[in-house]
Amino acid sequence: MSFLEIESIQKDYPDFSLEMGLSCEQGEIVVILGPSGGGKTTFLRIIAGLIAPDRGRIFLEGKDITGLPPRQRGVGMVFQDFALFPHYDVAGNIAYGPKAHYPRSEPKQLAAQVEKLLERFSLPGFGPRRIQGLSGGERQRVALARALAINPGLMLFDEPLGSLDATLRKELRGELRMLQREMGYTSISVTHDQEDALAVADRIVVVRDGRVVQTGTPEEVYARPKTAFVATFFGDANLIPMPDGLRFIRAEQIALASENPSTANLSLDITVSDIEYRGRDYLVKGQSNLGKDPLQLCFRMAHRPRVGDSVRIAFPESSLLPIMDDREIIKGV
Amino acid sequence: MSNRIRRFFHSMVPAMALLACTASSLRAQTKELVVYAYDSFVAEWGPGPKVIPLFEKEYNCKVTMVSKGDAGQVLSAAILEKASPKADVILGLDNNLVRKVIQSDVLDSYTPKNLSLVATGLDFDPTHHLIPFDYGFFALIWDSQKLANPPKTLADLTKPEYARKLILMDPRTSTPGLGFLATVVATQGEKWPEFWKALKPSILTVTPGWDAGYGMFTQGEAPLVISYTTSPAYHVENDKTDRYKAIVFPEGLVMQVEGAGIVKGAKHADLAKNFIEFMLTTRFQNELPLTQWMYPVNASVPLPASYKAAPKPAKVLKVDGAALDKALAQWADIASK
Amino acid sequence: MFERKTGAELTVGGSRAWLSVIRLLPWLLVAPLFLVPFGAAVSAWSFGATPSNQASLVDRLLAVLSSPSILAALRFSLVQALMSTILSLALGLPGAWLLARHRFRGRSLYAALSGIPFVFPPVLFSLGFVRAWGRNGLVNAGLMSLFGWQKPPLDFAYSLSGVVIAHALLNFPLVVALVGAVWSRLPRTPEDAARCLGAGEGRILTTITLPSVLPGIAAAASLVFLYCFMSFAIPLTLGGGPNFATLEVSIYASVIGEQNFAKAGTIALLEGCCAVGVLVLYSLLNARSAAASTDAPAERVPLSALRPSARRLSVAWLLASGAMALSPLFALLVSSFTRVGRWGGAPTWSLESYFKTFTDPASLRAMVDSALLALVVAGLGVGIATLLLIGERRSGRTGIRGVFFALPVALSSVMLSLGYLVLFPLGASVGVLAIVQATAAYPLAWRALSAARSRIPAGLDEAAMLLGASRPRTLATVDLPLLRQALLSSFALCAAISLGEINAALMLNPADFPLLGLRAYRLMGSYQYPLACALGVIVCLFAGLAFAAADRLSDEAR
Repeated sequence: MSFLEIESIQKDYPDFSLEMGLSCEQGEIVVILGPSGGGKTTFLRIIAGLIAPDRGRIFLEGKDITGLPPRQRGVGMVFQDFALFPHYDVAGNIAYGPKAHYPRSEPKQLAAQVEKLLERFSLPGFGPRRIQGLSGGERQRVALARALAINPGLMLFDEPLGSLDATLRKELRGELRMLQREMGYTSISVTHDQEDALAVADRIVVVRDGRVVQTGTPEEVYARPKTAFVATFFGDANLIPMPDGLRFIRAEQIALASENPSTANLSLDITVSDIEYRGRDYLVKGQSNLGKDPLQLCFRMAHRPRVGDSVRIAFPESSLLPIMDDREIIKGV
Repeated sequence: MSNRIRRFFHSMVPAMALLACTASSLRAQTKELVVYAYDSFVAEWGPGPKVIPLFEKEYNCKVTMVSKGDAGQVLSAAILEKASPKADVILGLDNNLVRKVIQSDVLDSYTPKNLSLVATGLDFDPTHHLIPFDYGFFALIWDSQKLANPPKTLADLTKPEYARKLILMDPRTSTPGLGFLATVVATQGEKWPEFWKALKPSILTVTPGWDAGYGMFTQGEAPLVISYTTSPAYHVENDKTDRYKAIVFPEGLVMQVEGAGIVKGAKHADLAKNFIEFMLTTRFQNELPLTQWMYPVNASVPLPASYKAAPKPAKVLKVDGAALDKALAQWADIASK
Repeated sequence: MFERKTGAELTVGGSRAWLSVIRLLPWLLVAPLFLVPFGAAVSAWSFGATPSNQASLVDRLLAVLSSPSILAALRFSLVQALMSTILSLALGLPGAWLLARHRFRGRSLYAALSGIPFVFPPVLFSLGFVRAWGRNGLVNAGLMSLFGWQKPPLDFAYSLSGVVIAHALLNFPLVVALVGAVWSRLPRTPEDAARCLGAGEGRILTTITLPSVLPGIAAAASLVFLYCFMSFAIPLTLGGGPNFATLEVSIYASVIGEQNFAKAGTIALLEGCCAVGVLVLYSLLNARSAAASTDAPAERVPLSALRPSARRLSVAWLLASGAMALSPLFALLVSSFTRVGRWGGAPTWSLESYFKTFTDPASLRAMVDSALLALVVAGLGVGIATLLLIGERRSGRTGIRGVFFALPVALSSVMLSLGYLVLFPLGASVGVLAIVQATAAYPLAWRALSAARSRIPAGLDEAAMLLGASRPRTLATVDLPLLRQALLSSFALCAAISLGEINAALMLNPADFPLLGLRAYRLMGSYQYPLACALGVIVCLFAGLAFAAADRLSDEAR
C-alpha cells in the first residue's frame, strides 16, 4: 500500500458531487490542478478531516484515518489566506501546534524549537512580532513554519501561492521545492495555476467537475494530455479535427517552413489574424484550411509578422496526437 | 450508583435530618409574623422600621415585612396565593378596595377591642375584614408660583383659563387617580361622563402612577395635580416651602381610609390579632403623620405643626362603590373619546 | 459556491457527540428561563374559572378581542410603534451613514448612545424627557429666556407627537448602531462602479446603496417597532391620557387595578403573539442583511475629507442628534443638582441630593448590592450567550433556533413579571431576580457575540484543529480570545441592563436586597424627586463605567 491511499472518496452536494481517488508515495509532491469550482479544495479538506466524506476511505501509512478528527491525523495544512491567529505573535502561532500536542512541554525547549524554525525560514527574531505587521511572504513562511512545527508526515497546501504577487510566487515556488527536499514530507497542494503546478509537482492530478481527468508527471500531462480539456488547460494547444478523430499539437511544435527542421514533414499556408508578443517569442494566430478555429503557433522571428500576411508553416506529422474530445462538456461548465 | 457515592449519601441523611430539626426548633422558639404592605410603608422613611421593632419586643416575635409594590399589587399577591397563604396580615388596603377584598375572600373578619380608639366615621368596613389605621383626603394641589388664581370649585376646573394645567393619574393603576374619579362621580352622579368631557381640555396628561405625575408637577410642568391634602404639609416639613397648597372644594372631598386585615388561613392568627390591636394604639399611630403623610385614626394623637398646611374639608363626599366600579370600567372609553 | 458550505461542517469524528450535547444544553437550560414565566403568565387566563363560568381559552380570547378598549389599545400600540419607528429611522439613518463611512472624534461614543434604551429605567426616562422637552423643560426655558418669549414655544410633550418623539429619541441611536454596522460592511465597489458610469451621489444613494442597506434598515426598524410596541410608561405619561394606552398598559391595569388575571393572561397571549410575529420578521430581515454584507469593513474617510458645507452639516447633525439622545439624561443630571426653593425662593443649585445619597447607609448598600447583582447578571447573561454560541453553526443565529432563543426580546417585562407573580407570589430570592434579568439581557449579548464570531475567519478554527487542538482547546485558545472584546462589551451591556432593569425588580421584590433602580423608583413615589434623579444619575454612571471598563480592557488586549 502507498504512503497515502485514498479509495474513491465520494461527497454529494445538492448541486455538485465529488468522486475522486488518489494514492501517493512518501516524499512525493502531488499537485491537484483544475479550474475553480472543480472540487479541489473540498477534496483537500476531506483529506485534512475538515469535511467528512459520504463514502470511501483514506489510509495514511496503512492506517485508516477516515473517521479521525483533524487533530489526530498528523496532517499539516497551509491555508489559502494562511489563517494565522491574529491574537498571537509569530512565536505564539508557531508554538500553537506543539503546545496543543504536548500541553506540558517545557517552555524553554519550545522556545528553542520555535527559534530554530524561525531561523530555518529566515525569520530570525520575528518571534515577538505581530501578525498584522507582516508582509505576504513573511506570513506565508510563518504559516509554513506553524504547520511544520508538528512534524506532519503529510502537508496540504490550499492555493499556497494564490494570494501573492508574480515575483514573490516564483521565489516561493523554489523555496517550497527546496523545503520539501530538505524535510522530506509528502505534499499535496491545490492550485488553479498550471504554471505553479508544472513548476513544483512530481505528479499532477488534473481535476474537473469533481472527477480526476488525468494523472501523470508534469511532462506527461503537458506533452500527452488525454483529453482536449487537459490539453487546453495547459495553454496554447491546437485541436485539429481529422476524419479519424480529434488531433492535438502544441503551438511551440509548429515552426516556419523557412526554418525547415528536417522532421517537419507537413506544411501549409496560414493567414495571420492576430499576433501576441510574449518576450521570448510571438504567439501567432492564423486561419488555415484545417478548420474554422485559428491555428496557434510560436514564432521566434527577428521581425514582427503583420496581420494579413500569408505565412507557410511546417510541423512533423508524428506530433499530431490523437486526443479525446471533451470540448462539449467544457462549454457546458 | 457506585457504592462510594451511596455511602456518602447515607452518611448525609442523619446530618440533614439534624439540620432540619435545628431549623424547625429555632423557628418554634420565635414566631414569625408575615405582613404584606406596600413599598412606602416598608421603606426606611415609612412607618414600618419605626413601629415594627416595638411590636416585636412586646410580643417576643419576629415580624417580616414584605413590600409588594402598591396596594393593588398587595391584594393581587394575596389573591394569587389564596390556596396556601404565606402572609398573616395584609396592610394598606383602602376603602375603595374593600368590595374586592370581601369578594375575593382572602381576609378573615375580626373586631379588635381597640376599635373604640378609632375616631367616628372612619370604620369603613362594617364587616370588619379591614380595620382602619390611617386616612386622608384626595385634593388638588396647586403651585402658587405658577398659578395666580387657583380653581375654587371642581366645576372651575373646566374653565378655559386652566387649559392644559392639570396632571391626573390613571384611576385603573393609581390610588389618587381613582380618588379623583371618585370625586367626579360623587359630585356629578350619572352625568360624570359629560363633566369629564368638559374637563378634558384642562388635562395636560394622565400618568400611570402618582410618582411620575407628582414629579412632573414639582418640575413645573403644570400647576395643578391630584394628590392628598397633606402634600403641602410634606413640603413645609421637608422642603421648608409653602409654595404648594391644597384646594378644598366646597362640593366636598373624597376620603381614603387605609385598613389592615388578617389573612384567611393565617399560620399565626393570634399574633395577627395582636398586631391589629397594636396598630390602633398611639405607639403605632404617633408615627403615621410624618411617615405616611396620612391622618392617624386614633384621635388622641397630636398632629405636627406642619399639618397646619393641610386643610381639612368641611364636607366628605360619599362614594357609591357600585357606581364607582361602573365608572372605572367606562373610564378608559370615555376619557379617550 | 459549494465550497462555502464547508465552514459549517466541523462536526466530523469524535467531536460530534460532544457537540450534540452542547447543542442540546440550551434547549434544556435556557428555554425554561423564559418559557416557564411566559407559560405561567398565559396560564393565568384560567384563574378564577369556576365550574359555572368555565369559558374556554378561545372564548376568552374572543371576548378580549371584541372589547373596544383592548382593540383600541392594540390599534394604538401598532400606530404609535409605526410612527415612532419611522421617526427613529429618519433621525438614525444619517448618523448610521456617518458612522459607517467616516472617522471622527467621539465616533465610538456616538455609537455607544445605543446603550441608553437598555440602561435607562423608563419611568426616569419619561421624567428626564419632560424635564428636557416639557413645557417647563430646559429647552423651553432656554428658548424663552433667549428670545424673551412669554409662552413655551415647544408644546409637544403631551400628545401623540410627544410619545413618538420620546420613542424616537430613545431608539434612534439603536438605528444608528445597527444600520451603521450593516452599512460599514457593505462592499464599496458597486458604488465606485456606479460613479464611473456617471451616476451622481444622490442617484448612487437611491439606486445602489439604499437597496443594499435596505434589509439592514428593515431589520433595525422591526426591532425598534418591537420595543415601541411593548412600551409601557412612556405612551401613557407623554401621550397625555388613556387614549394612549398600549396593550402593555392594559395588562398592567388588569393585574393592578382589577386583579383580573384571566384578562391579563389573555392580553399577554395576544401581545405575545404580535411581538413574536414581529420578532420572526426581524430575524428573517436580519438574516437577509447579513447575507448582503462582506466580512471586511470598508475603509472610513475622515470627516475633514468632506466638502466644507457637507462637513459642517455632518458635524452639526452629530452634535444635535447626540445632544438630543442625551437630553433626558442631561435633564436628570440638572435636576439632581437642584433643590426646592426654601420659603418661596427660586430653586437653587445644590449637592444636597448627592450628600443625602452618599451619607445614607441604605443607598450606599443599594449601590454595592446593585453592582454585585449586575456582575452576577452579566456573568450569567454572557454565560448563556456563550453556551448558545458554542452550539451554533457559524452561519449564525438564523432559523427557528435563532428566533426561539431571541424570544425574551419579544416577551415584555410586564408580561414576564405577571408570570413571576404567578410563580412567586411571596416575592422571590435575589437569585431568581438575577436569573430573570439575565434572561432579559442574554439575547443582546448573544447578538453581539454572534456578530463578532461571524467576523472571525473560518480557517482559524480549522487551522487550530489541524495543529492538534481539540474542540474545547480551539474554543479556549482561538475563539474566546478573539471574542474578548465582544465578551467584555456584552458583559458591560448585561451589567448595565441589570442596573437599569426595574420591572422585574419591582414585581419580584427580592426581600432585604435594596437595588438602585428600585430605590430610585420608591424615592420618586415618596416626594423625593431630586434624590431619585441623583440615584438615576448614579445608575447611568455605573452603567457608563461598566462600558468604559470593558472598552479599556479590550483596548489593552489589542
